[in-house]
Amino acid sequence: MDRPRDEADLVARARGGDRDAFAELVRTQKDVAFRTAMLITRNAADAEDVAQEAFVKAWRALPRFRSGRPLRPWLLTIVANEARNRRRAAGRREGLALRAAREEARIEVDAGSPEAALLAGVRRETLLAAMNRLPDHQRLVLGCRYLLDLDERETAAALGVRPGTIKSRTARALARLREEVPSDV
Amino acid sequence: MSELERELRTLEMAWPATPDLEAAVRPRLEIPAPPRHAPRRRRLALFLAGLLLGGTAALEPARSAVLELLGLRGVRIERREPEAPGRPPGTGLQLGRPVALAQAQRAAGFTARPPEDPGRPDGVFVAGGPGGARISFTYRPRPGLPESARTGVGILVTLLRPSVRPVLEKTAGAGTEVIGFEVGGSRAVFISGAPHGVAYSSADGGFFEAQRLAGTTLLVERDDLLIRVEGDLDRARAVAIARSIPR
Repeated sequence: MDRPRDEADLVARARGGDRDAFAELVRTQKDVAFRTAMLITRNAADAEDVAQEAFVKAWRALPRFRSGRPLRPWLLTIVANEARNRRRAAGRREGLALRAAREEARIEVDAGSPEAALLAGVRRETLLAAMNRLPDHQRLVLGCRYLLDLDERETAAALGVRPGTIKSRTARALARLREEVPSDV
Repeated sequence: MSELERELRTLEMAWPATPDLEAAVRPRLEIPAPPRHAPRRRRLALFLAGLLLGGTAALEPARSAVLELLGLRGVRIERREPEAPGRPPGTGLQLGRPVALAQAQRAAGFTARPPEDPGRPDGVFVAGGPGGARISFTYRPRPGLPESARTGVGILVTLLRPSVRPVLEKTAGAGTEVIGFEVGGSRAVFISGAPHGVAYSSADGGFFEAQRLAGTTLLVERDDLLIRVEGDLDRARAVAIARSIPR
């Protein structure tokens, strides 16, 4: 029998105690949850623990989740709180920096010369190195908006701030990033 | 969008592989814990009476009007056939296929034994359907088990798989009283008053069952089973029956 699998239906069923429906929600949200945790903890092992704890807490908190609202901002609030708690508990440590994908699998046909491809790779590394040097909250807002493609509500949830502040925060973070990155000629 | 923004958006990231979170999380999804500060009666709100697939029940016209109020437009209400002598009590209640007690577990596919109080059932039925298999034990009226009007059944004990969960929602019906409490560490609900039913969620979706016997319904979520005791019973008696179901 075909069953509607949209988010609202899964949430409704999970709220009723349907663990399979909740597991399906985990499947659809786990990448974003894990990567958001990564942006905050900068440590993959911590991010894994954080994401797992966050999902379990979300399960327990589901009865209080007002149906009809989008799930992701609510979930990311839980993830971000858990991640910040973990960071505080873990103490400051040099974590895994953001990494660019290696480019050997992608040779852009119209990149022109090998030199152009090399320059593109250098540019990517430069950009990410600059992002890694940003203050946490600025790295986080850019990571959410541009690397994870989260919308303003979701990003606000991850930062723990009001959605109305995201535009200005993003603009400031971009300005700061530009200072860190030598501009192309 | 500026050039910088475009670059960021198209950056191919080497995120660490997302771990298998479904496998890690699923075993930790316990039966939902009650919210910490909500008063128990309001937390259990009231069972949903309606909206999903209708069950069938032998109910008088006045009671069907109450079901309409509760939103059970799709419920089919059947007159129960008079019970033929020699057949197990509960035959007219659409409980499923009558089986011998010894076959019940194998037929249902899960471990289920009748309550030791009142003891050996007069009827045993197995049914499939939404939410999976269930076993129903029926008992004729006897001293201590008043007859539920016209059905020839004193009490009905139904065991459902633990994958089925009662859905706790507000009910629109007046006159139904719902009390939540704990039985030996398990959550339980006792429903009395106006005719009512129970909605469940399961892996197959949701379904609704009207009560089959006039009277009261006790639901107990024991970790390996969902137990339902129907009859014209007070809470203490219903609880005693549920507690006597062996593990």
